[in-house]
Amino acid sequence: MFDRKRYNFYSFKIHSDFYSVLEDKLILAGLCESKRLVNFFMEKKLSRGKMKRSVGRLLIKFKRPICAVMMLIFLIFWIRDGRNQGSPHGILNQSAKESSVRFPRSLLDSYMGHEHNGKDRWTWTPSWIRSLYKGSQDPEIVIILAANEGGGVLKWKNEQEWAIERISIDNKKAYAKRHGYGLTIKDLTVAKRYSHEFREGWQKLDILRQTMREFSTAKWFWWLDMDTLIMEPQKSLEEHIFNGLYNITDRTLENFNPLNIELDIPYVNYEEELNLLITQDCGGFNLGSFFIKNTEWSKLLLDLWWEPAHYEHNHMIWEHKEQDALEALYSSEGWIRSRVGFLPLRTINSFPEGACSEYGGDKRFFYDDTEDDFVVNMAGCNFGRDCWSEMQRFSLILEQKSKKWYNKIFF
Amino acid sequence: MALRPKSKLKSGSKKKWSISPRVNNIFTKEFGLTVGKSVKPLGILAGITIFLYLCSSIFSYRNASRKQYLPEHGYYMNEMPAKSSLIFPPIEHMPVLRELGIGGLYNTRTDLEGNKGYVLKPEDKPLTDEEKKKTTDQVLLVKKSFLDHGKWVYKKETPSPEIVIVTLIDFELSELETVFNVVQNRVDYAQKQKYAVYIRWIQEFVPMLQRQNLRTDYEYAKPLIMRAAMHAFPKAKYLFFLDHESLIMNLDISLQQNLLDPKTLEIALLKNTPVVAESNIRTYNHFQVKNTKMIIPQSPQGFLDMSAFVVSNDLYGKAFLEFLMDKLYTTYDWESFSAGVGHLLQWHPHILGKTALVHQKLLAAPVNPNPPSEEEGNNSDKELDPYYYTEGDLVVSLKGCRLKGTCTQDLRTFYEKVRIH
Repeated sequence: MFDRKRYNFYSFKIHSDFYSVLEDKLILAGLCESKRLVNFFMEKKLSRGKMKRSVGRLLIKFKRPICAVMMLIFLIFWIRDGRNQGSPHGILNQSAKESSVRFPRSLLDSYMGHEHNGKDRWTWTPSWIRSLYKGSQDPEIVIILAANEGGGVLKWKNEQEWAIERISIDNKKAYAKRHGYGLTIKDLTVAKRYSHEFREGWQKLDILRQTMREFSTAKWFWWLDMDTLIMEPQKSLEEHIFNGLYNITDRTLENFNPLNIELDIPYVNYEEELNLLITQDCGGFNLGSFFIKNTEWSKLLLDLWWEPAHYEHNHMIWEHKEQDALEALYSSEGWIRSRVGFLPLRTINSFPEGACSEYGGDKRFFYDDTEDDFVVNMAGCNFGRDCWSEMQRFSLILEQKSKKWYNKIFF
Repeated sequence: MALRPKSKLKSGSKKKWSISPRVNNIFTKEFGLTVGKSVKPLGILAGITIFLYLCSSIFSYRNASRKQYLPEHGYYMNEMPAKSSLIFPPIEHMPVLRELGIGGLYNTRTDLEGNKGYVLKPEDKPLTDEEKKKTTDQVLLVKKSFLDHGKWVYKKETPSPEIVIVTLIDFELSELETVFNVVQNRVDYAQKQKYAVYIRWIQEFVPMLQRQNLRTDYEYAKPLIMRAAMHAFPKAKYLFFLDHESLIMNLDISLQQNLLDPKTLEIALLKNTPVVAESNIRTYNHFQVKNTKMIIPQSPQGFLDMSAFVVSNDLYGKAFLEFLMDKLYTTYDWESFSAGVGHLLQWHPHILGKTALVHQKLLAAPVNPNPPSEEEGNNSDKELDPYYYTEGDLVVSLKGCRLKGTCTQDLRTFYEKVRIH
């Protein structure tokens, strides 16, 4: 019925390809084969029971090839997963070997080329499975990445800044693609439009509002500054945050209150759902990485956040503008407090040692690769620290982490 | 890291699962147990793995027990459940309260900079009935009743009144008779329309006010009492603030008919009108009446009349009121409270989109300072005065009577017209 020789040839082919990168064609061929088989039986017009029996017999006969094909499919998925880490492959190895990085720009060009090729070759990623059961293409979670923060007009970006931007963007791109999230990169250069008013630095709110309109079906938005890296790209946000949201968040400041904000104010209803997830660093609220839900509450908050009367009074005290404004609103208004949750800094916003340096050794703040912190935020690295070297360091860690044992065998 | 291969495994094992039962079936039927034994464990193993995987995902949600937090409370931590939906203070205490004065009702505290201020004790416990019986000191009873009044909350599940009428009364400036008339007027209307009443002494809010001075901060107590009323009637849908210089003149028309019905509101709505006089910001032309959360009357001169306004008891109402009572906002040197509200509406489009500005006559019809003479009066009877109070309007507002010193008298005149004998 089915000739054995052919099967042997088939398995041989599998073997020969096993050590090279497997092509999708092979699987397709396998599928075609089985289709032909079915047709063959249909033609013979076997009765149902007979057919069942013969299918069963076939399955027994070819249980080994079937097992092998399964193994192969599994392996292909696994290996592709490993490849799609979004780690800056290659360049950083090179740049690490060279003592001084003189041409990161050109190096990055080659990286971009690689990424481009990668796109065509690796389209069949696990997000394919995701899209199957989610049905729609509209992402539920959208990552907002802020580019050109506070710059653009007053000075030229240097090579290293370009490099940081590329690495950071690719890191998020790969992450969003892998888990089926949306990614939007928002340019903050327009900031300077406000440079002679008091609105400078506030366009974060405008961007959030605009993005909410743009992705009106999304549930959550994740704001990320440019100087961040997702260190555990295999963790999905659902798995890391949203499935256990109410367990990992703190709704009061009881446990950690660097600003000494009053703990209890009137009219706070902690039974309301969480709409804003932020972290606190050593100096108070940190908005380098935070989540905001697409709700009426959020829209209202974004509308009321900027208030000229508040700002006129406080612009000398409010050093971090929108951060301070949120702190002030949080300390006095119950409707805001009702829906704000605090994540531990290290869940979505770990710091390198340079930030909050006066708290060196404090486990609450700093990135620890042995504990698999999710995101590192090189907050304030452009104030007297070296952004590029920090970015290099964490990219290397990321790459080492994404290496798997079988990478050594196959690649 | 750890979970990734697991989920991959699942995709593989799932396929095994779909095959193995079929295979097993045939095995047991056709080939007996000898062949079955070799494959069965594999199928069972795959089954168990999938079962465990599914279980783990179910249980991870169930285990999520939420942390315990304090329940919502107002300025006082200890609250008393009210039996009646008509919450108003004992007016007969007025003479004693006046004697005591604000200084006698609150403790004062001096801060580091030497500023004296009245303090409110959030942990203050209400006087129990037994204690009330034991106490013979009338002054203490009055004082405690004053301090406990803010602790009443009406939390009955059903059937809760839909609308709460909120009024501030003053034991220092007003006459006993005026206060009595005002309270009775609200209660009459509430009973007729099955609404609730939430009336408090304005002096209860002195410790919460920025300057703790009722003469300058009088109006800033309005958002405070409104927010307290929201907390006291969590099931109510709308809250209607009415100044103590206003009287409800038409007890027969309900707010639902007169105001909240989208069709009525559509007519009364001011579209494409400057939010405040000479403002560049205009109310929306495409205002969605059904989304209305706040209703504020605007005078023909273009000023927001905050002597009567409606706020819905939801997210928007809370945000609107809490923003207005925030110290960040009240410390700004506003010309008046209504100028502050005007600013809020002009700068925050999301709030403006939910706020209906309506003709003043609808909610707070002012009295014509130059009433038409008898002959002209006959004419104006046929043509309704578009601005000033005419018979049949819901509310008459006696704004400005304090300057003239005619409040008691005017209120008496109008009250006589609606008095239920």
